[in-house]
Formats: sequence, C-alpha cells, structure tokens
Amino acid sequence: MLENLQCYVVGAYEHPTRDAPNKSVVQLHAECAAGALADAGLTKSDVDGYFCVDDVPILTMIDFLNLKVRHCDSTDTGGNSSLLHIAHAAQAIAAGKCNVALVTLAGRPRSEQLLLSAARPDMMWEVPLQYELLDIYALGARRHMYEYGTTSEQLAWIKVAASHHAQHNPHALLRKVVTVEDVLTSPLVSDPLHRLDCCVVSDGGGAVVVTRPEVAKTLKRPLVKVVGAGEAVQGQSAGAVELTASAARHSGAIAFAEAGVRPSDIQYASIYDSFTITVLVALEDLGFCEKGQGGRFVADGNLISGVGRLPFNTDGGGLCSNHPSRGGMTKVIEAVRQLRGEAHPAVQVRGCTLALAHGTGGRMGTRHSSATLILERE
Amino acid sequence: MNSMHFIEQSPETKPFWDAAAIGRFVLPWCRDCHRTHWYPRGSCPHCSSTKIDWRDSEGKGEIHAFSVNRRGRAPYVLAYVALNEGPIILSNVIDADPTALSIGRKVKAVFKPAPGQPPVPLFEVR
Repeated sequence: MLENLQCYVVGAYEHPTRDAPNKSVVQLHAECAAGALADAGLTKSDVDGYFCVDDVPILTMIDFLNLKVRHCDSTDTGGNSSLLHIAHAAQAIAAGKCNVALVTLAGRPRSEQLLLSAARPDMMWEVPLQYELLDIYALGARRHMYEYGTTSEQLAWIKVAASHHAQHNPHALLRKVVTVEDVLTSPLVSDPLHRLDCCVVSDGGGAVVVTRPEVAKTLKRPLVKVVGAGEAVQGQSAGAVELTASAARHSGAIAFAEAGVRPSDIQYASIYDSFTITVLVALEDLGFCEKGQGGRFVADGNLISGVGRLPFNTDGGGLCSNHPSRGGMTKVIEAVRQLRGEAHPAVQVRGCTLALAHGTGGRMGTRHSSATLILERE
Repeated sequence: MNSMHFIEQSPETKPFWDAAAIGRFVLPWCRDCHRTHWYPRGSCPHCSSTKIDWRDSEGKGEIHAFSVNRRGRAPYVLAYVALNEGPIILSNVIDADPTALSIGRKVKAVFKPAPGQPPVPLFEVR
C-alpha cells in the first residue's frame, strides 16, 4: 500500500427515501450531509473539503450548505462519481489540501426528468437514433452471449442474489425474493435484457465523510481505511468499440496493486448494478473470474451472502433497493456497513475486514468510467 | 433518443451532412495517418491531425451486436454495425424482422431520417 494514501471513511449515511416528490435535490444533499456528519460524530464546521457532481452547481451546493471549504471537486463520470470523489478526497487529504472531506449524492429520477446537455459532439450522432439507455447495455449482453455463450439464466442469477439480500432491507424498493424463472418470464424490454435485469428508479441519496488518521482516531466509529483506489475511462476508441470488457480492467488492477491484495482476498464486494450485465462484466474485469467465465461465476447463488463465494450488494443494490440516478454512493455505504459489522444480520459477512466497492459510470458500450475502491477494517 | 432535443451540428462535420443531403455516405479520412474513424471529427482521434478528407463509404458492413426494444408500440433495433472500412458504429437497423436478425448479418447504410432529425446513417439488411 502506498504510504501517502492514509485516510478513513468515518461517516456514512444513506437517505431512507426512495420517492421524494416533495423534496428538492439540494434538500436531499443537505439531509445526506447532515446524516453522514452525525454518523461520524463531526459537524459542518469540521468540513474543509466538499465533493459532489455538478447536477447542482458545486458553488450553489457549498453556499446552500454554508460550508467553508478550501478544496472542492465536482468531477462527473456518471453514476460512479461518488467512488471517484472518495479517491480524490483521499488524494487531496494526502496532499494536505483538506482534512475532512464531505462527499454527497442525491437524485430524483422518479420525480423529475433529466435533461441532456447540448453541444456534445458524440450525441450529435446518437440523438437522431431511436434508442434508450437500456438498449446500449442490451448490446453488451448480446455480444457477451455471442462471444462466451453467456445465458439469460446466468444473468438472472445476479438479480436473484440481489433479491435474496433486499428482503432484509426495509427501505428496499423491491423486497420480494425472485427466482431465475421470474426474471426470465418478466417482459423482454430490450432483448436480450428482461425487465428484472434492470435496476430500480428511485429518488434518494447518500453521503460519506473521509478524513486523515489523526482525526479518524479521535472519533468513536470503527476504522474503515481506504487502502486502494483506481479509476479508468473507456470510450468508443474512434470506432474500435469493445462491448464485452470495461475500464474495470484498469481501475481494478490499479486498486488491487495499491492495496497489495488479490481478488481472492476480498470478502465482500459492492458492484455497480445498473443492469445484470454491468455486474457480470465488472466481475470478470476485476479478476474475480476469467474473462468470459462471468456467467458460470454468478450462477447457482455464488453472489448470495452465506451461500456463495462472493457476497455482493447485500443491501439489495441498485437492482432491488436504490438507484437515485447514480448508484456509486450506495455501493460505498454498504461496503462500510459490512466492514463495521453493521449490515443486516441475515446478510452480514462474518469477520469482514476487506471489501471492494466498484462503480461503472456513464454508459458501458459507448463511453464509461470505472472506479474501484478497496476498503479495510483496521 | 429522438424524443429529445436536436443537437446543433458542428462546423467541422459539415462535409458529412452536405454529402448525406444528396444521399452520399462519406467517412472522415486522415491525410496524415491514412486511417478513418467514427464518429466524425475535425481532428483525427488517432494522430491529432486536422487534415481530414471525406471519402465515399461503400456503406456495407455486418451486425456486431443488436438489441430489440419491445417497450413501445413497435419494436425497434439498436445495433453496432462493423463497417467494411473498419469502424464499428452505433445505429438502428430499420425495416427488418427483429426475430430474423443475428450477429454477422450483412447490412447496408441508408439515409431515412426521422422527421426533424439530421440524416445519420441507418442500416437495412441486404
């Protein structure tokens, strides 16, 4: 592990709402910020670094929260942005740019329409087409099936595992345990993806607080250390499109090298799950199995806590619990719960000291970012 | 995505749109590194040269991946098409029986823009 990457996640809070017609996005950010600071045992006046995506302009957010910061960052890499923000916060703390970093996320996709920003040279060629987001992920699934023989049944197992976990989460949008059969008989919304291959659409948010060892060790919370962080971006490469591999190949390798651990050491994994195929490709690229073997790896409950080898998304993930436009924040929060021993007893991984949180932001298949964090309980 | 607003075309891609308006499908071609690319830019994404020519494409290729969206009234097909010239481009396969499609199926470019939309290349089975 790099000596200079010494920081801890000391506060974590997931907003319980999944439907917020009467709350603004800034209000959700503020409630999440307060929740994470309270969890850490810190106050707003301790915060000197702030991170959020620019869905609300960051200057507006900082002023709205009335923060006095000396470092801020609104990098937007899509749904995984919070994972990058935590990595960037760790770097800023190591560089002495701030001591206590607050990272917030909020979104209201159930309650408001998202608008596409104009002046994008890539969208000039895509807006005239007939498509929606899930079609792009369906292309990846189709190609994976073609190249590796992956089946809809295998993809379904990812949803089945998430649903087994979601039954224990009172805030989860979908708490019913589903079977492979249920997934396969749900409508084929974008062939080869079924409705139950897709994540939920929920309003909500979350926040975390990241700080240096000197501060972390004065607090009363279990010590969850950031021991590895990697990020990478993949686009259409001027026409040399790759649909069955993601930037996780690179972000994962960087994070594992930095942490000095291997995939087989990981006891719990939060894997971004916009769609089942997003999980399958990430698991391969992170090295939990060989490329092309993801289908076999996820089958037969291998991702179910207490059953399989790699418990994943024990809060129900985006597939069953919460996906407030961006699902990266909740990935970190559930990993922190696992490392603190604060996950639901039915899904808590015993003696969990090493966890991974991984996010795919943007659109796997056109332009996306991968961000991987490895967290350790001290 | 064409329920969303129209995005202004960049001046650098004008040769593409001018050609498309008269039914010609052209690809950007870099005079310095002798490679094509997609989507079209005024700077070569391989070597950064701004010496871009526009060459006629055969418009032929094969389906690299496809999805069939069945959420609306009529199913439609989104696809990545691998052009014979090399680039793999995102497009729709139109006027096809979705159940008869497969990866590797030969397709050909056509310009049949949706109302109010610019003429990006779409593909038909050939």
